[in-house]
Amino acid sequence: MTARRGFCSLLKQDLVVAYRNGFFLVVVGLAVIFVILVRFVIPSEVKITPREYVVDLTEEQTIADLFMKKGLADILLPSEDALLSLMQEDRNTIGIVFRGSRENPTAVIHHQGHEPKKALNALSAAVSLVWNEAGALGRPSFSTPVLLRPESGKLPFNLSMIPLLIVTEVVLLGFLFVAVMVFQEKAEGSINAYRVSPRGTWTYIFSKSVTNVVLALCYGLLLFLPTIGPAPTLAAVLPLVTVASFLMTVTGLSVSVFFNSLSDFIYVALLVFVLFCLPVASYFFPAFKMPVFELIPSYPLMFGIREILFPTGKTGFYLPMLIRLAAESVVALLVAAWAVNRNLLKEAR
Amino acid sequence: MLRRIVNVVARDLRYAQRENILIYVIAFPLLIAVLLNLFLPSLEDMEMTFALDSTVPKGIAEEFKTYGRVEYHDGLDRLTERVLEFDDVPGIYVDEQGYHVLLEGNEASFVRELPGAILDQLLYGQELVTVKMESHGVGSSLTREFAVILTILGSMITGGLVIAFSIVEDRASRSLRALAVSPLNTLEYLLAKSALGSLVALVLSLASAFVLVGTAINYVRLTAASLSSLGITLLFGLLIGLVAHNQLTAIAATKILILPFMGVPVALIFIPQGIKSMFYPFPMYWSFESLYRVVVSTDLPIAATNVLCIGLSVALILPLIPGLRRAFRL
Repeated sequence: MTARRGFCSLLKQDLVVAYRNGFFLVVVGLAVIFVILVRFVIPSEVKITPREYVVDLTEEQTIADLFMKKGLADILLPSEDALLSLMQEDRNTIGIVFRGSRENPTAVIHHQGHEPKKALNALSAAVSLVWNEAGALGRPSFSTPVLLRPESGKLPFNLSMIPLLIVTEVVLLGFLFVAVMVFQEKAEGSINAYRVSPRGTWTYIFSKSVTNVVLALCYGLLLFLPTIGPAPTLAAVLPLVTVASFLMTVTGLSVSVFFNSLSDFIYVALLVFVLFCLPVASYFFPAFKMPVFELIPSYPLMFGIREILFPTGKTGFYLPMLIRLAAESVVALLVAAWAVNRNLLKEAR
Repeated sequence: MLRRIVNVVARDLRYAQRENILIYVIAFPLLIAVLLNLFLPSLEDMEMTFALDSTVPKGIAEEFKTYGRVEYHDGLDRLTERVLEFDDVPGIYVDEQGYHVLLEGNEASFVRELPGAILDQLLYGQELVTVKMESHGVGSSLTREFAVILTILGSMITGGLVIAFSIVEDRASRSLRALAVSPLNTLEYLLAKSALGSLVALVLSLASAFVLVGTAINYVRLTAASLSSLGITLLFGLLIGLVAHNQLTAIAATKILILPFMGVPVALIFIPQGIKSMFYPFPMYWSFESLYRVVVSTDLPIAATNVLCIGLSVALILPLIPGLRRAFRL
């Protein structure tokens, strides 16, 4: 009972400190800015991978017809000169010029020169596929596609940013805010008063963690509700946000107690943030993954939240992900308890 | 005047040295550049991954390696498990009915179509279409160049953080009260506070560019572009110094301000050329443009973009001065 009262009073104190120092204001401010960006500024279509353009110089002009039928008229260019000038302006483009006729199909791939050989080989195979389909060359395919579940539509780019904004901010806010609280308590000397109080390490850690989880949930809800509405899937996302925020808070605690002030810790926080953001590359290029990404909690988290918010039919990933995050949190919690005890509260013992 | 400024800088340097802040300020951003340098080759040579079942003949599996990365899996269950992972990796297996491309259903269209196209190319053995490759001789992608530009702009922000936290430290520790009874005035104080942060920004921008691209760029032009971008460093640092009275509010202000300061350059990478003009009033736009001309379009002059970056930064810093005077009362 006393322990619970101690925890509640410390939690209330931490929430007041967070409020007075504008943490809630920051959370609201960030959420409002991101909502505006997602709803009104970020376009629904953005091409991040190299842009391919096509010129149809074939006798039958069937290639252009095929691309128009597929709704890809915007990648068609009228001439090779137009393509070359575009490629000179933008080093992120590749051009394919289709020539010849059904009897003698040919194509030229104009590439910048920096593209990997394997990607060009793959593009060459794709060119044959386009010629075969557009020119009705009649070569049957050796393979049959097998779909594990029905094909899903393309997610608009602006909405695809929501899981990313959730994960990166929850990671950074949790890691940074708890450190800020620790440094302020050190600077103001309130940690000395805490050392001689009966409340121990666990109360200290859980109070800070719950404060950050509350901030993360506020941020999550403020971002979700105006962008995707009160969808029932939110009930599945919020536990993930809670555990992720808890994980990052205890990680932030473990690291920050080894530093003297925010002035030196902030550069470490930057490094941690960059590390956690590396899997963003995989998010934008799903065909790309480095094995090390699997070890970074943000990797499954952003894909998982995307799947929950914008389901494509994937199943069986939620519970393993939640369990994994919870297990990582328990390990991080034990490390935090050791670090806080040793570096922050030990003088009282 | 100069002596008073030097004294404040020397005091800050002593403090930074004593608290090891200088080591963190220089070492960690450079560590980030080293990390990016390790990560970029994988991103630049990004290739597709194909998951092949053991039923795929060895010869075909070997040939697949000329189109991307190949993973081997034993049995349809394991292959299905792999395909269902979060990344876009198609699976290929063979049964009595022939070759099958196993897909999850949410892959990008090229991931869906490519394995079949490659299989056809390999299994027919002869080209359906005569494809010629024309290289335009551009040696590197823009990925690394953009990484360099963003890292340099990040260095400018890091310098701004040094200024901001130094001011906030003075405000929180009440050193400002002690300075108020010295002959130091607000302008001298701000110049002194800006000196160390600007030096950090300059050193970091040159060092991180060296880590990422070595001697492949003109460092005289880079120095000129970095110097003209220091206005961004000052603007960022002084804005936080003005609004934050302790480290907590400084972090809160940093979180909000980092959005326009780094968001504009990131947006410039992705948005179409036609709408970039909406960012003309931001000094970050002109800094990005200068750095782009240093790193990518090396034949274009940078004088005008540098001048615009300085001019806009000054125009945004000047209105802060009265507020800073009131806040510091020196």
